[in-house]
Amino acid sequence: MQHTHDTTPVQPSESDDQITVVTRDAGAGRVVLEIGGEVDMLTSPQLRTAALAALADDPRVVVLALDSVSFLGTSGLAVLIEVREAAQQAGVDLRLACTGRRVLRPLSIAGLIPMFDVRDTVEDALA
Amino acid sequence: MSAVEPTGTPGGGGSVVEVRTSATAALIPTIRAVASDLAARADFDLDAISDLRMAVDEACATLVDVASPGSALQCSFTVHGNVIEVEARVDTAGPESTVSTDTFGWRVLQTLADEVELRTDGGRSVGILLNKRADPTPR
Repeated sequence: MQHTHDTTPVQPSESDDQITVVTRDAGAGRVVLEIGGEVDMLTSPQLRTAALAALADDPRVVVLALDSVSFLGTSGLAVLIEVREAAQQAGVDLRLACTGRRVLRPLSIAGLIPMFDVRDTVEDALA
Repeated sequence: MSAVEPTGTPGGGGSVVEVRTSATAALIPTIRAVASDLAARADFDLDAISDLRMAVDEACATLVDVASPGSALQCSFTVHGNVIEVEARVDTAGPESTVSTDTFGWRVLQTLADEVELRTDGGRSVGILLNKRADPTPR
């Protein structure tokens, strides 16, 4: 299941230019977004659209499950910062679930770890 | 364990890999894959590999944004022992096509690489030169 309503022109290798975003209702106002693939300048708008859409449904908790993310570039980090601000404004509790270096290293190098509620597992993040 | 060094002579100029693509975001994954591969072969540790891959991605993304239409993105990787030097360059349409260093991306790039330098060429091209050592900056 992918949310791809973007208007960007079709790219030559379009199958590589997608990330996977699976949105799951975990009950009690909690939503989990499982993100997979390489989040870079081409794909980060998909993450932005999906996360902001999840926030618009007025949930209590939004969990971004990032362990299937194989690359997180600066544009992906910028989207996470934007989503964090949107969550704060909407009064939604935003949590990240990940243990992988591929996500934690970029977050750490950009000094963003203290800005986010990072949990080891989706289960922890939903607790 | 020593790195697989075709020349076997660190400091003797190093081995060079050049990658030239259309200056489009769709091909940046290919370039960062080359960066990861070279770093792994040069015995970079996992954090340093991740940092170089991200730095190359950011440098290329920045340049693709200012490249003149239809131009090429030229990336040159030089492995000097435990240091990888990368120079990425695109042609630009004129002096107004400049890279802003007052951005989140540029600040992250400075943290990722050991040295970063912006090189302009009178509006004809813009390049980003960066160096990364095998051992990561402690975090």
